Amino acid sequence: MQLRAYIVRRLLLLIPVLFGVTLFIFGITMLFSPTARAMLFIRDPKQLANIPALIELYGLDQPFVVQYGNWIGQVFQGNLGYSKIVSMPVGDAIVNFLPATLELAIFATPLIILAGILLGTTAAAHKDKPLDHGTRVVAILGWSLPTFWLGLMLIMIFYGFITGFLPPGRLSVQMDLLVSAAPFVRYTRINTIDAILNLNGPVLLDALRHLVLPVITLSVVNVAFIMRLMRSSMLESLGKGYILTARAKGLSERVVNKHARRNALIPVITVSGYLFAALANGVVITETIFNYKGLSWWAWQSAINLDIPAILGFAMFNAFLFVLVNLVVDILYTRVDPRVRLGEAVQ
Amino acid sequence: MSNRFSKLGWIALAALLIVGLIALPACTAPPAEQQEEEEEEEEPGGPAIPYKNDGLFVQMIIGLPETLDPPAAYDNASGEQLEYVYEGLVYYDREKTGDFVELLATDWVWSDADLTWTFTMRDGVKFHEGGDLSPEDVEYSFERGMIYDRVGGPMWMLFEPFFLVGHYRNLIPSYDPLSETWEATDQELVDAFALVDAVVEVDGNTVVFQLIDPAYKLIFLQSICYPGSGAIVDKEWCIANGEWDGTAADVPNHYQQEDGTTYLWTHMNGTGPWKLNDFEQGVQIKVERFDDYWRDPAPFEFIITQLVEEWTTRKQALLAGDVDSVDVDKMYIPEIEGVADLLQIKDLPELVGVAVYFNQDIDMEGNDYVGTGQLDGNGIPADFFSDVDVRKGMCYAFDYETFLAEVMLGEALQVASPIVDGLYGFNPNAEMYDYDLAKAEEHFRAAWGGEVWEKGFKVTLLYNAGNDMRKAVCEILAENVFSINPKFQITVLPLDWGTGMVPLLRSYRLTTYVCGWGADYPHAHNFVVPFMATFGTFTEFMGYGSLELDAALQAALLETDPEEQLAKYYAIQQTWYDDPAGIMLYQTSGRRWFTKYIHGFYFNPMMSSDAGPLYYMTKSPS
Repeated sequence: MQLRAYIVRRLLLLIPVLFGVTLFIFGITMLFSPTARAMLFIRDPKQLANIPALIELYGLDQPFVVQYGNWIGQVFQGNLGYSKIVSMPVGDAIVNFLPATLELAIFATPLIILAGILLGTTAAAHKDKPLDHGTRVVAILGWSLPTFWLGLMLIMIFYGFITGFLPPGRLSVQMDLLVSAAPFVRYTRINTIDAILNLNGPVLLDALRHLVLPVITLSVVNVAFIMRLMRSSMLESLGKGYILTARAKGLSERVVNKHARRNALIPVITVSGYLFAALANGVVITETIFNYKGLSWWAWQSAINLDIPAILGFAMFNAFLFVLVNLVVDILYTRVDPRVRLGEAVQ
Repeated sequence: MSNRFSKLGWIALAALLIVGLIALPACTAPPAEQQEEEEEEEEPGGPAIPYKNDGLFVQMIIGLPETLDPPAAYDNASGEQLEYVYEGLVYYDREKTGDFVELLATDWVWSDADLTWTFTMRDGVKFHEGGDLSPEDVEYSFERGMIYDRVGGPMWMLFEPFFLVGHYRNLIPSYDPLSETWEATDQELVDAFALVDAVVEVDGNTVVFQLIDPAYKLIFLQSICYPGSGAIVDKEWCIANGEWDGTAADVPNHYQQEDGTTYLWTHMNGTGPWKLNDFEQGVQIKVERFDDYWRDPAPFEFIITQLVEEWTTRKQALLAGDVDSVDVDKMYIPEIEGVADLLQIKDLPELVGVAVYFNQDIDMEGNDYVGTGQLDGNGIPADFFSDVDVRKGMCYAFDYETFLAEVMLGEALQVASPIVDGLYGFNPNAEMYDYDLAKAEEHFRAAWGGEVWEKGFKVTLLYNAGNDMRKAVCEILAENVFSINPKFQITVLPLDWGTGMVPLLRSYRLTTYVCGWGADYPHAHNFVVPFMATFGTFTEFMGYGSLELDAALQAALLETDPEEQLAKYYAIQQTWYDDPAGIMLYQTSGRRWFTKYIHGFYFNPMMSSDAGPLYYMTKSPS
């Protein structure tokens, strides 16, 4: 199957998936009574008298199908509702908060994957030797560390003891004022990318300086997972017949590892895709501790403040992202393993 | 051999890592005893704080404004931003709470005969959007505030001096305070405007305010110092942006306008030294210097206020010099007390009372904080707290001593009632609750005819996220109540202040509420009304109070015999003890923390801004 046709088919598949997700999420909100859902619009005592009017206005007592239809109709028109906790439309909130989270994910994911692959390969190549044990212990310790503890420790050391070295937040105050005013153009609201597009070195350096600690925190915590997966996958590959044959023919360990690593990467790619999606959705603690307010912070605030439109919008975005990542992962398979053909089962 | 070696290596590595992990926290937070020893060896003064962000004032706080519309704003976070951007007619003279200095008025004269305040307006003042200040702007601002009359808002402070009532609705003859269904007609709203129009009049370059009783002579001046009730807005600009057009006919369209629907909710246009630059809800608010300001330019080009709930992040930002001031909860004081480069201003005589307030008439619809909504052990009914035994049980279940000693570090006093120490009318010998689990049990057993004790309850106690002192209050109460009877379950939950707590409160859905009240003016009346009057800021949403109590509060204020007046306020305090609306917790003495580069702070307990009078403050490396 041609790549383009495959992508189109998978994108079309996105429609029923999103339909299912929205149906499920919307169905959960329907567990609340019409009055309870109308109350979510109430911010002011004066509105309390208007609950029946609100129910009628939003059709909250209509059958499920009608209400879902109304809601999905609004969604198709780009209206995801209004997020009360940030006082802006949900769509705007996603656009507003996504860049921060995306920036974290963009920097953390490659680091986690590369470190995980490197450590996993090294551990497998030195199976049951001190290097293997040491790598695994370090990785597992990283995995076991509570994110909040690690984050706070890093802040205390690299921002506290080494005063001001690696600060929290997204930008320093001066740079924040600089990017907020002309002539700096915020193309993507991803500070590092915008800095490059504006050819602004100081902003780029400042943005990178603010990224170091949250990225390290995310990496330390997540790298163990990739490392362990890579190690076991690598060990499996190293035990395969073609590797034994290669060794018997006298190929160097470097070349042997290279061949084995390529085949061992398939499960890692799968997990890495989801890792990116997960990082782009669920780094609440990191964002809170480092004052790096992104999508996760907004979603968490929405959840505890029962900001239903925001929760629905976030969940839809989440589903969309996961499906998209799944597609990218499938395409990557073909690049790593020529035996895999798009549209066919992985051998 | 190889296997033995690998095991040894593994053990060595593990040991190293364990030691490292143990050593890491030890490096950062030594135990108290060890800390004392180390302090002797360490250089005194802690880390040097570098000078940064010249020309800017940056602060990290735990709550951003709920609204930027003056007559709607009645919380510190909102009031603080209003103080930067808006101005009133007069303001307090530095620390003094009874003396005033000119702002938009150059002169003010009281008439004993007419009970009027006459203010002469300043010429040559511009609004941020370019408009010129006129006396008509003043009349419009006060009348707009009274028409808006946000429930729980600050305008009661003006309705009282003008009319001896708390709300616009009280001006309508058909209003029935006991009716739950009464609603004003449009015509009634229009007709009542004549009364409002009559108490604020423009006369040439002066504005005349007609008061109703001489008891309010000083209170009126103090009330208009609060930016919510006293801020002057640009009439033409407001009208151009869809606000009230200044006529009686338009009153029904703007009377108690819904939250978030006024243009001024998110837009600002004052005459103050700073103008609004940007407000990112949940992130930060920035105000920038107004170049056409009528006085000398503001000392800071920008004031940047960032929301940071996490204490460690705030602390490290302060120590790194990236911010000039942060909110510091009492329990964290030891962490920064010894830092020489920090300017610490302590023992500030704050007029603040903090309480856990119980809602006696909870709106149950769509309420996720009441469990099943029944007295069945898995929730509470709407009127659960209306039984005084439940409230008294709670009062006895709070460990005041431990809280004051360990959380507030001895920097707070338990208070008996909303009338805190320092206010006229305070009774130092008033009866107050102590921590007594036996008495608490006694009251819980008596509550709801024994049903509470038998079935138990489940309820959510909310506090504003980032306020760790209030979090401690909730946790202590939850734990103690649970220890009395395991069927008593309180879940503690943080919510964002402006976007979570306030909307819940204002829709009557808060079950319990850790609330604090800071003085608008230094008088007992300013405290008993919010906590005890039917139209009070807290009471309005918590189902407490009665018309009789309202009358008693007003009688105490209007009493001319000082001894009689004192007796009346003592009686009010006793009423609180006998029928507590909540657990009156503490009154704290204040501290402020800045880097040493900030100069010129002075304290007035009526200021909304914890950072102080920033217009009079400076920042320099010297």
